[in-house]
Amino acid sequence: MACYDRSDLTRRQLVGRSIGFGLTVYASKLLTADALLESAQAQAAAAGDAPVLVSVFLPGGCDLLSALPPVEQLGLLNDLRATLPPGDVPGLPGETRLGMHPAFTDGINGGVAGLFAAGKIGFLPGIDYAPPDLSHFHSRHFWERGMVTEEAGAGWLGRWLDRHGSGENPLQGLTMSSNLSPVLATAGAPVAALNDPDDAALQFGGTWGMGADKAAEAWTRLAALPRHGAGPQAAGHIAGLTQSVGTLLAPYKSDPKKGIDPLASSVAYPTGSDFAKRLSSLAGLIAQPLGIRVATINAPGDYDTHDNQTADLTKALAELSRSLSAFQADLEARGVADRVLTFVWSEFGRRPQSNRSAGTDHGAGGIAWVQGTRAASGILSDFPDLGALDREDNLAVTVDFRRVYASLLEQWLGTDAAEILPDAAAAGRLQVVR
Amino acid sequence: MIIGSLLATMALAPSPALAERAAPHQPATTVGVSAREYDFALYRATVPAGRVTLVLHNFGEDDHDVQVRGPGGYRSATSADIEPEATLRYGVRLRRPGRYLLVCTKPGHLAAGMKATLRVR
Amino acid sequence: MRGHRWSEDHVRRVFWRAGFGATPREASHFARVGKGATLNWLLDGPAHGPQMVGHQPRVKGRRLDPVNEYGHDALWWLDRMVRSQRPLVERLTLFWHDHFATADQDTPLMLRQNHLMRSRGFGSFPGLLNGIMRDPAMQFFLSLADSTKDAPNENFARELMELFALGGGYTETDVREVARALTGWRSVRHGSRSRSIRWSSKDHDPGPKTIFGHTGKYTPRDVIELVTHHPAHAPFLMTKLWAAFTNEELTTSTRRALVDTYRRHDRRIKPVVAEILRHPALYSRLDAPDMIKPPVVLVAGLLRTTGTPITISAYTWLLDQMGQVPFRPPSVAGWDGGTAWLSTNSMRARVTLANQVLAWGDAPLKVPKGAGHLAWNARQHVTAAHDAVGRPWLSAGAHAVLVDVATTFFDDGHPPDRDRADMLQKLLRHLMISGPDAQLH
Repeated sequence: MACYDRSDLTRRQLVGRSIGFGLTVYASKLLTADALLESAQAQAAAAGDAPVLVSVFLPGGCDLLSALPPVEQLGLLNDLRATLPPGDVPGLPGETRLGMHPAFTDGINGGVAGLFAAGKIGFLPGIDYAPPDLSHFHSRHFWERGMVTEEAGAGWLGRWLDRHGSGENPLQGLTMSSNLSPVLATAGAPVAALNDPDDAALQFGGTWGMGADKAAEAWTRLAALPRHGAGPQAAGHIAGLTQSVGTLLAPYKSDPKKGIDPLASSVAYPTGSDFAKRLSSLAGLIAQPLGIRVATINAPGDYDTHDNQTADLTKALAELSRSLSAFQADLEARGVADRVLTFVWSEFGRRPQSNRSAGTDHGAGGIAWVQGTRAASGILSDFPDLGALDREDNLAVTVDFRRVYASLLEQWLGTDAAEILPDAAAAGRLQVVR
Repeated sequence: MIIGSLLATMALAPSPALAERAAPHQPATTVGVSAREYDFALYRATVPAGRVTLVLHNFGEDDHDVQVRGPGGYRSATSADIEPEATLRYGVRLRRPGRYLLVCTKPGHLAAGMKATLRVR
Repeated sequence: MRGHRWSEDHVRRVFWRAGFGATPREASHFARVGKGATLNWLLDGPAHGPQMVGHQPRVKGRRLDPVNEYGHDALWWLDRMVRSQRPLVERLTLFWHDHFATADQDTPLMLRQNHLMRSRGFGSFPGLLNGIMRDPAMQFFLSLADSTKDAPNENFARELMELFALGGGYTETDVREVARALTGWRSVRHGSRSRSIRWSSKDHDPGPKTIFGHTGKYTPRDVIELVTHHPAHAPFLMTKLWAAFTNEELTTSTRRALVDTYRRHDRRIKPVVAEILRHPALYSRLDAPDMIKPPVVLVAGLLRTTGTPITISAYTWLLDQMGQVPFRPPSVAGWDGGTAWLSTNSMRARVTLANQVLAWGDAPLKVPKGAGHLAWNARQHVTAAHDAVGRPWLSAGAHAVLVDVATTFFDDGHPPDRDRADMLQKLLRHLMISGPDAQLH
């Protein structure tokens, strides 16, 4: 097995002591439960059609050439991949001159391939940054930060929340996992990590009735005490947010005994997939007046395919295709699809030449896509030429991820990219939304 | 991360061995087993005759299962599938001393080498 | 002469940073014996007496089986952290486990690696690095086993430089050349046991390699020497070790002094750790701890400072929810520490920990019936609760909130009764071990 990396990684040295939660103002004006609910709902109602951006990360570096093989260069690809022959490659629907991984047809409505055929996906082949850095940790950190820097700090969507988000609602930036994604790390704006919306309430064992009320009240006061320094402020801040998340989600708790599940979906997600279950929860939460604006989730699977690539990638892409197609169908069934755009990305691509263990090593020129009823459809960037590899024998970078970020910020979230991304003007734009 | 839910499942699911009405004074011997493509490794090589609880963890990327085959044509039932990253407790009763073989019954896995020997004394 | 006095606060600080907290008795004892004797105890252990004290761990009435019972490995190590008389050894082992993070390998191999880190963690770093390089769990994790001259694998070579020894100052060419120099190990099967590794000369690339601008027919042992003599190595490692013990800035002069100590002692770890523990920066702001407790330290510290043995297996899934299960780091880069430990989900798990130990754990943390007394005044309620949970650090503000809770707790129009006095004890103890202050050390 190659580098083990299935969760949200940032190399510790890069993150250093992580970010400070500088906004002590927030902690000092913690709201009561009712006021918090009202505030979040008011915020959500005021912007009922506010766009939501969902970031799906494929950890490990997904192989572009297996996901979307260039049919006109299959011969060349075969030569490069002696230990990893591409085999039969179904064509991607439409006049794309690209093939696709067979697993992309898995799922309802034809999976990812079906979404592409229906004009709901725009692929971004060759996405990366130049010169590429082949370390998982560096590369991830750059994508998470939205800039090529080793400095620690807030993530690109975290910075967006700091500027455009609410000062009160932690659900506005939501990671569907135990730990907050570095993409959503903020300098002060409240954000949340959530494993299971049914399991969000803060409970103090052994207290009930008036005692439980006193416990909650005491917790609120402890969280709001003035503190100094990044660690102590984070402890107070997160303590308050944890309580808020429990309060905000209390109305949506399911009760299996009574057959009640306020977040239940009408779409059949793949069973046995934790990722699918989290996406289902996320779709349910987005459809509620909770004010979710940006959400992140990590896809399962081993994309770091140094060996055994054929089997590993098939398995990973199949679960991805099944889960994402169900998620899209769910958003549509809930009537919220027009305000949700999903952005799927990985930290780099893989080397065109296969290695001796039937896999591929870290490379450049990866794959990403935008997905949704309002996503720009088709192939949105130039496909890197297999006949024109760079000096390290890697694919050329044909679109910088920061160009895509700037475009998402402006075209989807409707705010000036220059506020969030350094050198946004120089990054250029491409159409990612229609 | 899935570890938590797995451990929780582990704790809740009674092993078939424990569910039996066997002599309570002789507890089952636990044998840790790792499964991956295409290999079983036993963390304990020899056990006393009697109840044995196999604690299998799948470190691999495919589903696996286990069946125990032993002297006198002994064959345990085949276990449930063990998904990648999952742990399964599987209880068997190995009464006769001798060599027992743990095998994965998934197509092709045994032929690829997915077996291990447990000695019962 | 406050700055020069060695107080219980100093003892608590160093016991938390270099271990898993101090019991009230340890705090008063080591405050009396002074700084030198305290640090000697931490660095060298007790002169005599048992290495582990207190009750053996038991889960469902049975002893732990760290090898065979999945999840018991984490409990077994947690128990060492709780009961060892060498807490710094366990803390340093945890540091190395994070530094050389390895996962997804057979339990016997992981325990063997754990032993390596424990027994050699204080010694020569090149020696430790050499051991880690030859460690089967690491070799399988980073594909060093079966990296041969015909198919060198760069995985370990890259992490050796990026994460283990340098952090920077090398090129992609260095990665490839180091990978060539490290070829030659093969995996072996021994019957039905876990795989191991062996050296196979014919699979080693004997040719000349150019590493950091030097050329030679380098072997794995040469690589360890090249890497640990690289100018970036000592500053990299000193910076990381410093940050493991304190959030205070590492000044250029202190770093230079640590690098000097490290090199003067032939790259041994213990003199460096001793110097950090002696440094005044470790004892700054004793009244306002500012490091977030890693989950493992939180749990082990809670049990250790209260003298509570491990009797439930819930700690494993709680640690998972908090984001840190020993033997299961998320990647080769280890865990993201500092404020990254805290999210709304992990904080909730820290609260759930308190629920578990107060209701289901063992004495003395488990709250017995009759824990509270109606005759007490508010301060007595708070003091009793504080004593019962090992007198953890509480800010003055938090203490005031808790006194306030105790003062108003019975103001609900009903006459006070003993059940509610117990409930108040549960609540106060809970907030003391789960509140924002409890996350800091």
